Amino acid sequence: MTANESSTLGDATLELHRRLQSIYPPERLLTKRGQLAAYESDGLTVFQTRPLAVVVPTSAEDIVATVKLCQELGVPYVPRGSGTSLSGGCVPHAEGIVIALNRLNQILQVDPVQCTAVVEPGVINLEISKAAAPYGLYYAPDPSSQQVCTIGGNLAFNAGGAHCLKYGMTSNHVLGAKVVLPDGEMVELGSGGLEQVGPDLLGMFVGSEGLMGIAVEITVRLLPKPEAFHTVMAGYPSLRAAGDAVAQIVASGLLPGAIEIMDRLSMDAATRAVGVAYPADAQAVLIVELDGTTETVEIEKRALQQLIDASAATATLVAATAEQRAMIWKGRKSAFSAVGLISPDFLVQDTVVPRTRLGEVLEAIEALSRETGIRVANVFHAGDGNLHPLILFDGRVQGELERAEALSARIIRLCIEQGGSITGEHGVGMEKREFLPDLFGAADVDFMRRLRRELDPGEVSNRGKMFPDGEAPALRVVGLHPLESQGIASRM
Amino acid sequence: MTPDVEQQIEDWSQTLRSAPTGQRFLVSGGGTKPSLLTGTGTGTGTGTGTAEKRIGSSLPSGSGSGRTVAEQSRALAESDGAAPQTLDTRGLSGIIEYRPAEFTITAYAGTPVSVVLEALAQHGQYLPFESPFHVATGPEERSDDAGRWRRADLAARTTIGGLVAAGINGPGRLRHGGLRDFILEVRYLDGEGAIRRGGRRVVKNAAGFDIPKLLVGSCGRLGVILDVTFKVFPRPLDYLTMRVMSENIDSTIEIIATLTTHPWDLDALEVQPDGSVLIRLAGHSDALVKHGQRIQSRLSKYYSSFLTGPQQHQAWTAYADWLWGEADHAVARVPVSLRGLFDLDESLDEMEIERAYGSGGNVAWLRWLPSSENPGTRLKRLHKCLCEVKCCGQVIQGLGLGSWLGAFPGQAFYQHLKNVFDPRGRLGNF
Repeated sequence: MTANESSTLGDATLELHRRLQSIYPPERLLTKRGQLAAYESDGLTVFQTRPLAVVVPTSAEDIVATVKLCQELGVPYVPRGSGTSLSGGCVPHAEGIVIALNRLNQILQVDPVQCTAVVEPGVINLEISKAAAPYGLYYAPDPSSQQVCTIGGNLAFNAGGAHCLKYGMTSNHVLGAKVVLPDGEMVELGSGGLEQVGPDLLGMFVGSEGLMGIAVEITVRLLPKPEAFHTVMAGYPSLRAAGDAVAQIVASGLLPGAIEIMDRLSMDAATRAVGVAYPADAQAVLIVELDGTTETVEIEKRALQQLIDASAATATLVAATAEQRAMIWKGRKSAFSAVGLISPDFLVQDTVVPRTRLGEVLEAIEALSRETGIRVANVFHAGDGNLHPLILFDGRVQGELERAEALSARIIRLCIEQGGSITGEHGVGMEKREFLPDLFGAADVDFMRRLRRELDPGEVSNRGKMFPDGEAPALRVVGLHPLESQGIASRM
Repeated sequence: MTPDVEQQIEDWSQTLRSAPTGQRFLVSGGGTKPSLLTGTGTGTGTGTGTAEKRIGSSLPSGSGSGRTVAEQSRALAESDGAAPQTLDTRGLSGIIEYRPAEFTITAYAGTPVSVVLEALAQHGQYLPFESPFHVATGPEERSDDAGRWRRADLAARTTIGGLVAAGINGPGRLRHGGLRDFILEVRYLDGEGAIRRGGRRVVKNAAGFDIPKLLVGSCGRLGVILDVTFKVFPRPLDYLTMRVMSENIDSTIEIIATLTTHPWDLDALEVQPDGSVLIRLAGHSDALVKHGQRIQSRLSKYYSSFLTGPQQHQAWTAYADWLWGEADHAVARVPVSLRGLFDLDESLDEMEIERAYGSGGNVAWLRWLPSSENPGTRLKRLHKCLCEVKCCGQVIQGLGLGSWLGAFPGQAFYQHLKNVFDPRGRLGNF
């Protein structure tokens, strides 16, 4: 720190830095403006705040000491992995610190007999599958950012992915966790196996958005890689027609690994970004993937083809090779960042609606888009009714962000009215906290907040997230996240 | 929503709100499982047999530990001067909403499991984690064998809320997930009588704290469950079961490890009390035999046979009967790991405790006949043994019903939650 920088800091900050120095060597305690810049925002780039410091623990003991210090000084902390949160879940607090967990990135054990892996929170999602691959196993939850996002963040926000339909979310695959509670006490949750007795404490912790503590060691379930896949892409004349086909497939009793939809705008963006070709006349494509044993997939693929033939599909492509399958998924998973090529800025939503109301809700969103003159791209997990409308705008134009946000709020309320949820897999974070009472009612939100305050009376752990009336958010910026512009991460 | 049920809920809410300090409440369902404080006289007889005695003080303290229901009631009354009041959820009965196309169902807590299963079956759907009282391979039959539970009766008697409170899964856990993975929304009364709701009726939801999961296995200690929404799955078209003979625990572990690490999509994998391994495949009948033959060739060094039709059904009902069929036996459920199975099995052998291993070696079901002289001896030894290997478990039938065995992981976290859900401890503790 230069003399000049230090002279601008208040006594409390200097005291904080001094105390942190007793826990961290200089290379793991970041306080300079240049060092802090990388931690100012996450995957939701409209928020940006500079923290007072970033610490880089390399052990659970470091975390315990840091958390206890924060409690003592009343300094809020934000646990952070790769910072890919799309809900502003790890936006720093201006009067707090960031606990960067990236150096806690060891895969401690892969057990091919029990089909589990024990990992530290900073391990990248995809690395677990890579480590398990020699045994024919993999870690099932596959958020689109799986090449960069960490398992700790996945656990905190109960991350999803394209294959939740059949395999469930992060919570369904986490078997145990060592957790540092907000008061610094360490507890072990879960049995490390599939079964447990007593209240499901681990289930409660997963998805608590960093408000109930920090997982420092995580046991996840590994599954055998499916023997066979069958991936189909079908073109439809409208989003509604594609949505109706989803309802037919779900109702038939088939349980595909994934059912996804992309609209025309998303297809065009994906074509520009990664060169995937889509049916020229289609307004929507449906992607369906079956997986399982060779025998089962062989039978189910015929049933699926009959359903698609009976639907309004205008074109069908069956992936004949692993490469073609990979290409279909590449187009799908790149869609978010690809939208950056057709619009300077966009907001991404994560609402859920009952699956039978998909077609209806999609039409309502199209109508809202026409009414407001704001373009909305749709690319989403149709099988679970988890929508990701992308609201396109140009943040350089005065008032466009506000208009986009107003449309976003109308879409969220529409989905709540339809019996849905405000978030399927991104979490509430900072972005959707104002909508939590719309979903649960003020009394139940208040009850959740009491749970939070019981564990953390000063609301030191990830303050300002999940609950409404948090402190004023941060500065706004526009444009893609640096990781997105490099094509490394995408927003789903 | 049913008006008289809603009125009942409203009344309970008022009762809890206006209850004097020290008043305790016992939540009771059909009395077939360990909500474990089932109230006197409403149970099926579990825990109220001739060997009704308190287990030693080596068990963890708490109102539920090692005591019979009658004793728990008496103890509560003695310590606080007021008799505990039973909240019998069987009055809260009926399916509130079933949307087959949405694959979700909502029912009042006191709805019998059989009612829910029958409604689902009409649309080819089911609860994949399987109620332990329900056998997936065929229709339930009533059996009148003397001294045996009739499983059909059990399913008719077990309530859906009790299933959640007990948190017990059947063989479907391995492939499809547990009850915790299928619960979407729950309405409940907290210890202060407030009617609350957690989760939402959609199949995917990441908003707020996951209170529905927390209440799974909570045994009525955190709240009184009022209604529950589940995600359901399409029921498989057909089943095929293989029985593989294993000579000892080493071979059993080897068989399990071979099967669970291969992409064979086993529908169930259970080690029976006689040591044989039941493998269940599910799906289209055309695929099942070919699929089964591949597995058989992989396990060629073991003797195996295919079971279909009535034979198959008989194998699974016999297994369920072993667990639930003998009222005078004590039964405990202990989560385990495949790696720890060998040592545990050896200890159980020494203690003369019968066992089966469910869900691919993830849970041990233990059964023993308490001796008339020293009825609590085995329970004490088992508790000590589980403490040593850092496992935990729970007695779910018979003497010591509800006793917590072994360690209680995450207790500090639980206590914080308990302080908010039930600050005055009206719903009892573990």
